[in-house]
Amino acid sequence: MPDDRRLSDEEAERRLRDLGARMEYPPTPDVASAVRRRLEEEERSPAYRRTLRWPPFLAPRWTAVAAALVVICVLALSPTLRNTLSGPFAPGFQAGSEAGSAAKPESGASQDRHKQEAAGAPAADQGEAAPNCSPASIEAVPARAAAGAKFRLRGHDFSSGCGGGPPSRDVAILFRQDGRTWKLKTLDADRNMAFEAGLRVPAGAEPGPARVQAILRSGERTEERFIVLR
Amino acid sequence: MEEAKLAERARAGDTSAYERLVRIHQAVAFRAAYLATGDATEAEDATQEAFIKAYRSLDRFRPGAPFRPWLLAIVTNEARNRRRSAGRRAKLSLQVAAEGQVLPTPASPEAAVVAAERREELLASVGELSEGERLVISYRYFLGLSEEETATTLGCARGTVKSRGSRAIARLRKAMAREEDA
Repeated sequence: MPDDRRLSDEEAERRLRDLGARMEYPPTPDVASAVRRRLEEEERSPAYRRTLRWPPFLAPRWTAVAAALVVICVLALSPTLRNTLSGPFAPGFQAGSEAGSAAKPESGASQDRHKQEAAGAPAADQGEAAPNCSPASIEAVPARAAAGAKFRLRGHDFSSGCGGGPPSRDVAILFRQDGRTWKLKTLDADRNMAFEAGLRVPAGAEPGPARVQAILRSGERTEERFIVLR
Repeated sequence: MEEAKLAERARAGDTSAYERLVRIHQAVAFRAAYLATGDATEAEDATQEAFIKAYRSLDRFRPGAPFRPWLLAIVTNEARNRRRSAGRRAKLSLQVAAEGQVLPTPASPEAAVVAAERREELLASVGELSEGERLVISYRYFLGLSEEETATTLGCARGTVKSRGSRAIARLRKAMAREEDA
């Protein structure tokens, strides 16, 4: 049986360092430009400016919650104010003037918006992500094929903003496997925020797992697993 | 420009300062992600995503603190999460450079062959370690992080890094001794 005590800790560490110095890694990709592009794209979107660059204690959501609490406290503590303010919202209340009736639907909408904000739901008319906003996705059909074979790629929900943004343009379709990348095509989404294209598995792909990726101009990406068959 | 100033400007929203900061650290970040995932594509995605997350978290970065371990903690987290969600164990798929490419060659060709074989075997033994031990060894000796940096990067106490490191070295010493006897 070998005696592992012959090697001191120092010697073992020296060998590990020596191994580390001789290690070969895959070439480092240039992520700096992609990161900057993505950040700038995000910062141009109004939703990002509102939600991410605020100091945490001044974030709009917390400000709305604090304001709602102040209103509730004032209403609870002052009967006079409560009577004055709650009139227009009381059941059966009818506006006595033209201005009052014109203002009523807006008050309701505004009330709904405040309710949504207080509940943490973003207001739809502010362009923020609506709860039913689906992320972009792709689907390869079939998702298993040999190198050189054809497959179809379908993309859904490719818009540059959630809920009504224009369709994405210049979506790069990449095929990636073991550190190698093939650019298959650049596609534009149609007015339904979708695309479909016939593509070919790169001839140089090896049998085994791979991925098809769709990369938006903003740098955001979505992907689908793909198996290259023998 | 020094790193602290770049981080300060990036915190204020200067994306070009952040891009320079990314350039300084992208190699070590990518290698850390690669050691955690064992897959170059996964490592690239994890590195990019981690830099985006780090930018969004700059408000929580303590000014004057070392940037590298703080960043590597985000990179490692992202890489491990991706690997776990892919449901596979990371393989240590590194290669040892051919003799003479990085360091001077040993005296004789025979000695060079024996040394190269030993390194390959040692690397294979590192790959057999548990994830926690493997990452401690990889980050400490392959990336050259200090004990404290490794602890911050892996989100554990310095004592944990020490104990995992000692256990791993004990296992590797056995492997190395077997190689010597063979």
